[in-house]
Amino acid sequence: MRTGSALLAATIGGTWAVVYLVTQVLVSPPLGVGTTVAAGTVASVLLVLGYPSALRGPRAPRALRPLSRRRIVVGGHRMPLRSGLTADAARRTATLLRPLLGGDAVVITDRDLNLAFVGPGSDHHQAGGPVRAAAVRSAIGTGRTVVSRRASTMGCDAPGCPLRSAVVVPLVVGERVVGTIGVFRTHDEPAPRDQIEDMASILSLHLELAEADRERKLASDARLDALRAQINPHFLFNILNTIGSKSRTDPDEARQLLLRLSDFFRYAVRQEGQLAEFAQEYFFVRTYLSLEQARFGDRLRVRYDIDPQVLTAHVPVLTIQPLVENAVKHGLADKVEGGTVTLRARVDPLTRTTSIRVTDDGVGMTSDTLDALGGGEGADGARGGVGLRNISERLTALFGERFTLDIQSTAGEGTVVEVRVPLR
Amino acid sequence: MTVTSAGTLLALITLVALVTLVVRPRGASTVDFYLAGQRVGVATNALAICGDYFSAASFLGVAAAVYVSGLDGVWYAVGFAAGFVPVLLFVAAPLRRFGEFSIPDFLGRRLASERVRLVAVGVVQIVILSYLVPQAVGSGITWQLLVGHGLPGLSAYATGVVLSTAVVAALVAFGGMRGTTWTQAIQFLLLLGALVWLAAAVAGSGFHYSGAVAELSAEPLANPVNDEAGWHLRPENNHLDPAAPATFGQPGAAYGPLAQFALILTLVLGTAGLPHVMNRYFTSPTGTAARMTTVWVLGLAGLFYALAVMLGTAARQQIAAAVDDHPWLEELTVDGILRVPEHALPVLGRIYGGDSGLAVVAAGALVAVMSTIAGLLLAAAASWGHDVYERHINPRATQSQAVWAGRASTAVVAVTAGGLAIAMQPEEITPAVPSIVAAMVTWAFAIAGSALTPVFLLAIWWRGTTAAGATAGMVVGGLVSVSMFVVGALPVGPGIGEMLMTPTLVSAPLAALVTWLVSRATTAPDDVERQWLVLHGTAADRYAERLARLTIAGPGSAPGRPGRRRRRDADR
Repeated sequence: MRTGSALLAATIGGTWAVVYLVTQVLVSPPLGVGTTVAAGTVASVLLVLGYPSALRGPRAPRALRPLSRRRIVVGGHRMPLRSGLTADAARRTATLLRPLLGGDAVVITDRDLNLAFVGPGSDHHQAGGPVRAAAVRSAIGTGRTVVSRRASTMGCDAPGCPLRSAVVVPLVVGERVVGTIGVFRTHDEPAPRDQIEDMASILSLHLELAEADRERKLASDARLDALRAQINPHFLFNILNTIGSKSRTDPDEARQLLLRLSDFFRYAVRQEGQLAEFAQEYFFVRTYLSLEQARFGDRLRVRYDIDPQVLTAHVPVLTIQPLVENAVKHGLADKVEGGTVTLRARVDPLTRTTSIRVTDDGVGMTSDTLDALGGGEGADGARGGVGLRNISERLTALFGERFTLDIQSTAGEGTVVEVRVPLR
Repeated sequence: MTVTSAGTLLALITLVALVTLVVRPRGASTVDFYLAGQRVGVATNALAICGDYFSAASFLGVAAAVYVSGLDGVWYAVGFAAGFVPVLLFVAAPLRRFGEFSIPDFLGRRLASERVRLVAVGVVQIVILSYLVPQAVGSGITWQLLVGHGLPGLSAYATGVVLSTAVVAALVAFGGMRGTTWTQAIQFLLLLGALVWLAAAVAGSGFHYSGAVAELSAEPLANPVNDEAGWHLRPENNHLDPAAPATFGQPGAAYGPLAQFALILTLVLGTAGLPHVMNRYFTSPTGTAARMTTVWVLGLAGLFYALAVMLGTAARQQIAAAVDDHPWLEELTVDGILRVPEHALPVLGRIYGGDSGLAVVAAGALVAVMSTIAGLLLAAAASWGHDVYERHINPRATQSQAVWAGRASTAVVAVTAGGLAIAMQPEEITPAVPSIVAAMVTWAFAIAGSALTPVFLLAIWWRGTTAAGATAGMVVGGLVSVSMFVVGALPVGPGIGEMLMTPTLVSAPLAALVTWLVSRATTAPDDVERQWLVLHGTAADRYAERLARLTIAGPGSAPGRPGRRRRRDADR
């Protein structure tokens, strides 16, 4: 057993035997049952606790180091604008900042609309309404801080507006003005300008980070598209050859294979989003493997060991199929007598993780190759693997540090790849 | 414990371990049954749910309750089994369709509120704890009878509690007993096997249920008590008709008119709020399958409890008759009636099967206790680790930190439950209720039925439910039920006292009312219509079924395939 459960069980059994020997046979008179059981229990508990480190020995797997992406967070994670310039985030930011900025009213706008307005005057400077104050419009236009000391230059056209002075600072992402933050007072002395400009630059930084997040998500989508595009050529070429030869000997099966192939690509192409239920991915893998089995015949044997609980868990799309494809292509294709691919999937309810393990008893890899994979150099290179690195990058984008991707391999004995991802 | 019973017990436990390892389905067809939504798959999940659900309370407690108070004890069996009727009708399918992993997750996403999730976590923890304690008590009682003496410095009872919780906690925390569907299903089969064997042995010896009930009802029901005069039999009061004596075949031996009703309502409502049982519903492939699973669970539960009731009755009749032939019964009984009613099944096993028979029943009880404790600890630890630790304390936790959080919370919950079980000496409470284990489980059902079920049902079936309403409902239901227990434990008049033992009658409607009132005053989440489609629509079900059909139909399954494809395309 790979996890070494048998070893643990044997050791615990042996320990009890030793305890029995010592307390019941060697010692005269024999000790009481209670003492014996206590001694054995203590020893077993110690064994179980020490098991992962001491008994099983250092683990061989070389984790494919996820690229470390540490976010730069300024001003803490609680700043609402961190998620982008939306009405809800603006409202919460304005409420948060009003006591800090020394004004009576705070407005946050984008280029056209008041996103949020907190304080006196909110009856006509409505959130969601168009920008009313001329000072704000001019700050958007010029991209510079606007300070007005009188109600007339502040420029609200509504009669009876209680606001008299204003400091309006643009929010800038890159070179673009994306909005403004304005602080109004009900008397003629405007709020401290430096403080508001500092705050505006912090907010701008947050907006820039939000932008970076969006771009990273786009990049991750692009990686998925790249993978989709990558699935095709080799596999398609092989399977079409198979179908071509079958069309003569067994036209009916050839037709079935074509239909399967269409199922396969329908899934690969239509799949939207980054996560799918395991049942869908499983369907995809089965379709893929049945196509490969048509090509390899008896040389490719498949075993599924799947707990039904996994079926409804969400897993990253197009992750399992490439791993299985690697097992077939690099593990078994070069082995004359063929071999078995095992797909094992479990949910661990304690840690709320889904673990998916693809095992093959094919040719395996030397430790050099494994190191090269682990180092990330040439993962897509000479051996033409279907993007382990791609998978690793997508998992990093989706889960940060909260996943593992382990590869263990021995030349001549096969390869085990295990992915663990959070359940949700 | 004699060598024979120890040997048999050990052999049985090993057998379970082996069977669990060997029977685990292998090969290409493992999950196919399941995917197809065929009977085998549904039955497997149903067996697994039973493995989680049937605990010491079901195995030892129901028989004990019947043993002590006759028909009033049968209500436990009826209530435990009937609890799945509301689940079947109102909960199973929508819950699965919504597709979250636990009750707090469900409420949190349905009502779009972190606060609801946290409050639900709190309630779930209370329910789990009050369900865990009776399991620990059950294993303590089993150990007391089976082994008879404890570790140095501990009583036999405390030893059983400590060992069982420690072993299961270690198994849960360090791998192994992580409750895969197969493991739980096989554990239940062993439990059912022990019960069926005992029932067959009893029936084979010429036992007739109706005859036994008639014979036992011929004279007033009396049970042993221990007071200044030592152990002696005291006739039970008839709570329904104080003038007449209480008998085995008529209601009234344990509960008054209100309490009879309250007990059943508590058990029926409580099941829908049990976290470890509900968690398994989230793993059915489709809503329909979840519902069919419940039908199977109902059937299995009906069988199980019918046998338990029969055996409780048999124990009352046969043990009294067997005292003369079995001298070892002397110290356990008073005039042929057992002092601790939970001993009914183990003693029956020893009468019919000798030491091996005792070991078979003990193995059944241990397996029931351990699989339930494992399920509960998992639900509790996962809830702490996921809902509290990962979401609020350390949102950037790595995998290994999450694992350690789960292990630590397993340990804490296990220690708390074990400590409470040792603090509650069963001998002190036994005279007050028919079966200590069954009665304590009732408290868990009462809290679940008061705090969770009303909110749960409203969130599934009423669009207007809001986060504030659900929070208020859960808090009110939980507080009212717990405080009514506290008041009920104080010495008060008998009329109020008996109702206070099962507070669901008051607290569940109150919780529903509060939820409704507060929800009316606040506004529901915006996307309620979209959620409604997910909860009650069947499109996702049809999609999952279609996918399952396609997955299993490999290449070469030519017949019928073109037609199927056309249907599928028409669905688009």
